[in-house]
Amino acid sequence: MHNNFTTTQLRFDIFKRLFIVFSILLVILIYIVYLAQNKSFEQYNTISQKHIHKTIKHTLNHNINQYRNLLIRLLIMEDVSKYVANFDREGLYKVLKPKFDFLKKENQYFATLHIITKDGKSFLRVHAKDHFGDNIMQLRPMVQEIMKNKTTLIGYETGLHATAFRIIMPLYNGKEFLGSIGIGINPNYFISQISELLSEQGMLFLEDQHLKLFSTNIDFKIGNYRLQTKISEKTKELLNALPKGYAFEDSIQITLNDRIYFIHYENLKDYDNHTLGKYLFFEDITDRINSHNSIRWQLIAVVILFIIIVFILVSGSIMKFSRQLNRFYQDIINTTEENESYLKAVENGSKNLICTIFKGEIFTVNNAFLEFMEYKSLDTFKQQHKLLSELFVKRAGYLDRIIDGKDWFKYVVEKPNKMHKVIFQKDSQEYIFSVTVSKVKINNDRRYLVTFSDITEIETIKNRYEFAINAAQDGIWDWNLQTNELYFTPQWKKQLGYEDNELKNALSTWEEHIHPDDKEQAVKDIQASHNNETEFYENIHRLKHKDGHWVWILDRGQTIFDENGLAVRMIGSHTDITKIKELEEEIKEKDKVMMTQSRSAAMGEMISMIAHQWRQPLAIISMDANNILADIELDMVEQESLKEISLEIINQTNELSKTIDDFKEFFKPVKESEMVLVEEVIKRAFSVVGKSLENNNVAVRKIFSSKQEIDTYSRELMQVFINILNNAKEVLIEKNVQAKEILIELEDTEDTIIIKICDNAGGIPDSIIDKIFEPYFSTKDAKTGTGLGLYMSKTIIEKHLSGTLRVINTHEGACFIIELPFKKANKNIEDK
Amino acid sequence: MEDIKTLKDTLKDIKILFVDDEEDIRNGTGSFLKKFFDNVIICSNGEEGLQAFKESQDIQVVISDVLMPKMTGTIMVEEIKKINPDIFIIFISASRGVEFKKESNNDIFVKKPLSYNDMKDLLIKINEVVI
Repeated sequence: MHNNFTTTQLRFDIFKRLFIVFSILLVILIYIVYLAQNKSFEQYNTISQKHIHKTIKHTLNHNINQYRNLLIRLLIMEDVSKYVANFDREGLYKVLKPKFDFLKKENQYFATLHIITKDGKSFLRVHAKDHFGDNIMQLRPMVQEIMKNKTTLIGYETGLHATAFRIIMPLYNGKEFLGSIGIGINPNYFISQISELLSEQGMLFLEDQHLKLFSTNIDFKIGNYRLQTKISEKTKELLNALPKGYAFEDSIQITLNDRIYFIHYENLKDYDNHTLGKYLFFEDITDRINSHNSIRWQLIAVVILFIIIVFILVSGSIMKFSRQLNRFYQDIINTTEENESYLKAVENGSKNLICTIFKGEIFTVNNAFLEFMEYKSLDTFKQQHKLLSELFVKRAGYLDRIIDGKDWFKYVVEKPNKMHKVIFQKDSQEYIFSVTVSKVKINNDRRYLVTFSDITEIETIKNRYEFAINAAQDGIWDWNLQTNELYFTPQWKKQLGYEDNELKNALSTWEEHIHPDDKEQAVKDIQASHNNETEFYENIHRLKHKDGHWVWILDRGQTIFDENGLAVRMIGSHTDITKIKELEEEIKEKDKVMMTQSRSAAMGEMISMIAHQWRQPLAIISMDANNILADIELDMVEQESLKEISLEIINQTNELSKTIDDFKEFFKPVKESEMVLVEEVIKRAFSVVGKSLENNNVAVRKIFSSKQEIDTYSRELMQVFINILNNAKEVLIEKNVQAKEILIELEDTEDTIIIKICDNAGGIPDSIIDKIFEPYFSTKDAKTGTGLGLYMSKTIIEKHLSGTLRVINTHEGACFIIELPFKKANKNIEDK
Repeated sequence: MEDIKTLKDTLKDIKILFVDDEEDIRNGTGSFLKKFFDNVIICSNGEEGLQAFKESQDIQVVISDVLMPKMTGTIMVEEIKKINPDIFIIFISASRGVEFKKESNNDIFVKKPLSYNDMKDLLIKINEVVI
């Protein structure tokens, strides 16, 4: 797999670079160690040399001080002055001789003990008893000096018998200066002392002009200085190895037989600080250099080791990291593959059309896409259409192949906040899609992911809605309760005769236009809606039209609440109901007219009925009068018959009066509803129409099972009954039914009473059954009917008495069914 | 105008049938007729009247109400005319729109209530038609 190859390559590359870096690092480090070590070695050498010089000086001083103190002790303890004052040479010799011998024994280099008198003559040489009395002033500058200044003197000086390093002190007897006492030490003594410290032999060189006193095994000269010390063969070799022209310089290094030596020198001075000789020492520093070198190599080894370890560790972790990276990479590849198949699944699960665009061409599509485009595969689609944009229907406001000089998908990506739409045509139907495009990176490829969502239906609804809003007569208002902004549609303003720009969108606009009488209730209703007391807001109020008249508005709305129940928005509509209001008024007026008409008609009927009732009694009275007149003419007048006839007349007038009483009920002004038995109302109706029914051979059958008194306007109800009964009678006569019969049934339900008035006249033809309750509809001649009877009956029952009136056809005839509540609804009949 | 007394003499032998469902009318009109006619048969409805006519077919004049229970005056008259088509019929009715077939020119329809002069005119008419 090429992926593995890549990581191996990567690892090798990293390793290579790492190796180079570490190599350079190593070289630099070694160089630094080398330089630092050299520097420190030089420093060490300098310090070491200083130290050695110090040691040499210190050893010299130490020995000198030791012998000076010894000399002072000798002066004090052995009372040397006394012997000198008395010139007792023998006595002094006896005292000092054992001391001298002891010192000589202790230190072979201890050479002289010499007392000199103030005249510069030798008083006693303890190392040479018999040699005295000679004036040595001329010979020895130190003796001249001490006789003059009488102070202690220390320094190298050549004497009569020996060249020695001398310490000379003045000698007093009380305050009397007697001369001097001095000791002399072979300078090689110091060499022996220092050689012990340096492990190599030291040598003394003296200037040639001075006395050559010390025996040597070789004659060796450095400059003017001649060797004064017996030296070993090895030292001799060392001297021979000295560089040519060497003249007592420091920091000189020589190599002999694989060993390395440092050369140190120290000056030998007289009392007056003049250099008279040189001490020369060799220091073997081979071990030191070796150890220094071994330390260097150890350091370098440590550095190399360290670098190697670090390199191993670092490359190890890099290898480990690389392996992890590889695994991670593999995981990513797997995840990518999974993601891609997941993406594929998601794409295919979506109802939206999804495609990806790569290098300007369609790269992948989902199933929904193919399904919509009606292709089996992307390849077949691409054979037909090189570009997807070929399918876009060109329309203003919709996407085209190139927009603003860019490919459409790039254009969409750059304007993600805008709604982008495209139209596809299929089977001569247009589909509108919203388009979203996002950039995605899959397998290092930059692709465009395009999603088409079918919004055809939404668009249709939106258009319809917009059309509805624009076209509808209703004005819409939208009130933001949080900002108190109020928007009115142009139609809202148009209802009041204003152009859109003539009224500002503010609550004040409404407040300024509402009729003062209607405002209080409207505000109350709005408030109730805000307080969520009512489900909908509905109010009818008047608003002032631009030309001054009042426009009746049915205002309906709804308050929108947020999650906390706070009223945030209210939206509603204004319907101009001025026409309806006017129509209502008209209808009211019409109703009034018809009511009056119907009342008059009813009255007319009543009067005709009274006339009918009265005709018989009047006929009887008239006939009675005729009888009397006939009797008079026939001379047959008899008191008895006159009386009889008079009584008959009175009888008949009572009958007339009774009729008036019966009908009087009908003319009573209606005031309040009353509790009444329907049976009783029917009885009253029969007192009016009963005679007429009887005369026309109409049988009446009553099935009364109601015992319930109802609260109603009985007079109105009676009018309805009379009307229906009269209609039944008329139709029975008209149809000339043999056994005319009217059936009246009363029946209680739970809270209503049902009154059925049925005839056996064969029923109402289907063609007119729907029209019989319409006003001015009549089957009768103009003479007998006004056409208002049933219309008024229905109006009375349904509008005034809160009941229902309907008609059905039974197999015998028509059946009018009235249903009335036990308790009338709260409607005031007087309003009408 | 003839004297009512002489009219009474000429009319007294005429046999007359009077039908009315209203008792008081029957009584009033009946007693008036009886003052002039010796033979007045009074019935209270069409059925009765038809029956009475069938029993005494020499009845020359029928005076009847129109709207009556059981059998109306018009139906009764139709039946009677089947027996005696020349019979003289007088309808007396209170109702205004009652359909009425005038089969013979002599037949009369009069409306209640009847005044004294109306009654006298009727008597004169009977006298003219029957005698």
